[in-house]
Amino acid sequence: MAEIRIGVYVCHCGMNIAGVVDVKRVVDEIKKMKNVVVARDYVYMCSDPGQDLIKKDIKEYNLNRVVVASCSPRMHEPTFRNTIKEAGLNPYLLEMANIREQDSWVTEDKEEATKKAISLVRIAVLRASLLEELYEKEVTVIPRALVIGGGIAGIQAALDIANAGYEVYLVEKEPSIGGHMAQLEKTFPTLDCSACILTPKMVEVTQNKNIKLMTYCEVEEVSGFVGNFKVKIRQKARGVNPDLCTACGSCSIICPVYVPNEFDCGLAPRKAIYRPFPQAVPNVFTISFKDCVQCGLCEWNCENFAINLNDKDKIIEIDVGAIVVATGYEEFDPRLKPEFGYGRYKEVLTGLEFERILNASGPTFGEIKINGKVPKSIVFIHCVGSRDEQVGNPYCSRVCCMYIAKQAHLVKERLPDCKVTVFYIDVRAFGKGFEEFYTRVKDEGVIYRRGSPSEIYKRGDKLVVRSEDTILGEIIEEEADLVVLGTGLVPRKETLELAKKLKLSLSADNFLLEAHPKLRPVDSNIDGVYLCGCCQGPKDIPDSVAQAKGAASSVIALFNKRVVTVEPIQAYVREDYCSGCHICEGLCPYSALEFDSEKRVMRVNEALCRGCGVCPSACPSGAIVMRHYTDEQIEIQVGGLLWEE
Amino acid sequence: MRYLYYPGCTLKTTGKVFDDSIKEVAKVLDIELKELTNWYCCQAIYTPLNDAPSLILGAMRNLIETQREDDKLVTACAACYNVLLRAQNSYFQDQLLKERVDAYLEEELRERIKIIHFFELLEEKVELLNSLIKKRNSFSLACYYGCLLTRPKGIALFSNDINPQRLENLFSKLGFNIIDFGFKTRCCGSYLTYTKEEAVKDCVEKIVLSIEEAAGNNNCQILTTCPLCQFNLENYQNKYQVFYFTQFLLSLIKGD
Amino acid sequence: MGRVKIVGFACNWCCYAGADLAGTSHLKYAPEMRLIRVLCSGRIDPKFILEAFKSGADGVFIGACHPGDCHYQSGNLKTIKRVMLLKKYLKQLGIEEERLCLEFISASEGERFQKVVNQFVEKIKSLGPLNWK
Repeated sequence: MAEIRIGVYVCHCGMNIAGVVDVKRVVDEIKKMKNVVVARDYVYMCSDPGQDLIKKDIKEYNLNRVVVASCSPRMHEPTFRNTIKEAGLNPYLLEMANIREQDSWVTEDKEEATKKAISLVRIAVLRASLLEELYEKEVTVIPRALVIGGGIAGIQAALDIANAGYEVYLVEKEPSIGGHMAQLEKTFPTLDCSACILTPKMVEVTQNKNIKLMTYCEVEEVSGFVGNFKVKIRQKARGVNPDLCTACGSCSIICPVYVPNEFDCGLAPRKAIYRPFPQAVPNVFTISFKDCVQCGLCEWNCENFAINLNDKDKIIEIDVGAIVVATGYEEFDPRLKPEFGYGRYKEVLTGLEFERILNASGPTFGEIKINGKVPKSIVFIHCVGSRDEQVGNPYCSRVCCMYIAKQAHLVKERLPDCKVTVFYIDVRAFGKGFEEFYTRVKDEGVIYRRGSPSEIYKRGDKLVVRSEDTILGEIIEEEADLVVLGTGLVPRKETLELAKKLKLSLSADNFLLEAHPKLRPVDSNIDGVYLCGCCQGPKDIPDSVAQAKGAASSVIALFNKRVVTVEPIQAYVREDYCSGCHICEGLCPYSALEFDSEKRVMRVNEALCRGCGVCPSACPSGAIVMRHYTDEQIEIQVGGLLWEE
Repeated sequence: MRYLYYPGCTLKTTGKVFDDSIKEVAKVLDIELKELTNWYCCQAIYTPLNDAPSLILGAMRNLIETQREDDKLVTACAACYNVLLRAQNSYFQDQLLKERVDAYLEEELRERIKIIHFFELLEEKVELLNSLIKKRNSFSLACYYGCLLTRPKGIALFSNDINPQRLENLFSKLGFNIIDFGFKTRCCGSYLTYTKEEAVKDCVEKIVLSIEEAAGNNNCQILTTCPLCQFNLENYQNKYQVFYFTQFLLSLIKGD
Repeated sequence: MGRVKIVGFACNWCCYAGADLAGTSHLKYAPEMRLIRVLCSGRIDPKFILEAFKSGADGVFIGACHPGDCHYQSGNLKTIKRVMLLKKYLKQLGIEEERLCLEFISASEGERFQKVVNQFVEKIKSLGPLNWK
């Protein structure tokens, strides 16, 4: 075998590493190792001059392995692989030592940090000496996308991908797209009518030939990898043929079953056969079979024979190249804060419930009434279920300060004599036009009192909100006819289930985790799966739209490339060692191990192998080898860590 | 079954009715309660002190007394129960505190003592209670939990639910109509009854308002689990009758 | 207390990312912990662990994904079973089973990584060197 010639580069990363680790000493120690031809330190290895240094050395010293000791490989492995590739080396001949995230940034004592750095670089050099050339494969990307979630984020992502010329499946679990934005009355701070700005986009979705709208559908199973996902979608039984339904509504009129309408947050009823709201897209009726009593009256009354009471769920399989997750949020359940009396008192409402009351097509047709009477005093409470360790939500929900200001403004507009008090901890009016809107709302006579209410109780027919007013330094009791809780945004339970199916990571607060908090906000930890909207974290409409456009552009970039390279980190079987015992077969989660009945040995199907490594560590004869993570490459690192001077 | 029993100071003085009713109910249910031989005040009222070891010495001495004979201890005073639990937790979780406290103790506490509230023993004897009850009155019951048995979360007896229902469950199994009101875990005013009566009056007023609102026109009796709550609720309002839950049970069993 | 030698394995998708998060958050932990990166904890052959103890390790740490969250579906489940069996074997050899530690750490659990590592190194220090060689 050719002589191994290793070049080692220890990065200062400015002061990030050099401020703690004695980089020169590391270089001196590593120089003594066998096979190390050149060892250097430099301020910023990832910079252009840093990379050029490596390229120059490869040519000058005829290097055939490179070790870079710097930040985490999760950060810059692709960067340096590219560097050595440009210098003519196979990109898999690179090894990195993480002496920043896992050394200089986490070690108190400088001597210890330096010793640890030496150890980590040593094992990197040892591993590098055993690395072999590997060749990536190219796989064609299916130029079709799946967008999961039909709220504003999903709609925008689907439109952008479709307008770029690619097919999109837009899957939504409700009977209509629109999401929570369709439930809003007005949007802050412009006071646009929410439905007015949303419905044109919803209509655009139906008119765009590239979008296949799949409503009342849920994602059942996902398999595959970037460029080649196989998705099973459950098309729930609608009971109504959407091609025949004219939305005349005669079925609904005759239906005898009343149930709470989810779109109105349960404040108004709907029938078992229903349309969630008049501008629903698709504009057809749906039967919620769990409420249906199968009386058949709707079927009898339908002039177009569109109803089928024996409708069953169907599973549809599709192949897509990329997935965009846009499943949104749900409202915090204020029953978890029993001191506010939600559920006990009818006069305590959540933010979304009050939004429905304010909406002209809501349960009170836009009239602000509670118990049939116009309220003379309304209290809003900030941060219900947000910034609250007690209920496990320490984060800020970002939109509540503004939506409460918006709702307070709408109350003042319609009921000028109503006393409106807002109890706040802080007012976060950070966005474009937000601070100006907040000032305007205060000028309109909305009273902002700083304090976090401790409890709400009833005295006679009035609610009493008890709170400390921290500016006055007193405990006050504010009477109200109606209390609106500024309920926060929490992750949807369905999103958590979807995350399991897709193997998506979760953040500490259970929203979906982005690949990098600063630089990759719309990428997930899985290649080919992108995130946008509130499923990634609470945000308002413009931010959701921006993220949707970002996710769409990532998808379009992927499709434009037409191919995606698959990492060659896969297993292979050394047939001479394999006895055909079949132990590995059942262990593979991707069923990538097949038995060759002629040769009586196992074989790895490279189209399926994902490189997890369970099979080589189980093989009793050591016949299976995992490329780039061979037994020898790992064992030499174990030995290296325990090497004593 | 035989248990070691820790009454605490209050149950021997102002809370004597509670202590007596506990002993009688226990006797009727065939539970033997043997009072702990050398028991000390749990020192609940010393919490304003800054000296951490002193706070738990009294409680720890009781647990060590227990350790000599058994691994379980039954108590009924809400304050004693809360202090014993928290003292034991601090002792086993904070190594430094343990060392300082051990310096004052004759022996160390080797294993955790299971601290049982008398109510838990009743929960196991619902059928027996049902068979013993001679007469049920027509009153509905409002079960007041107070604060010491419902905090800290995950540690205290009734702290695992936002809306505890164990007292209600027991009494509804015994055939009573329950009034579930919102302020059942809200403080009664506690020791402020000695220093700031207006505050206690305010607290009790709110609790009564909450019961009124939930009870509507129903006749109602309040059941308490703590001598201090009993005192405050009894003396700062006269709309509803207030009884210890064991006192109430005893009257049902005796039939008067 | 003295020096102890630790060999750590971390799966790329969860634990290694969690360790990186501890790094970006500048949380300090015992420098004895040095990690070998693998793509999945399922890659860890029990022979690596035995080799580690044989070569002078006083403790072996494995960081894997939480059950149900494995990037490769079930690799971590295999690891759980392997570690359980291996601990029994280690006991037979006279090695305290606490010297082998399997922990579940997700990519967002930087603080937890710090806590777990510090606890483990403390434990190994209190058990003392293995002196297997």
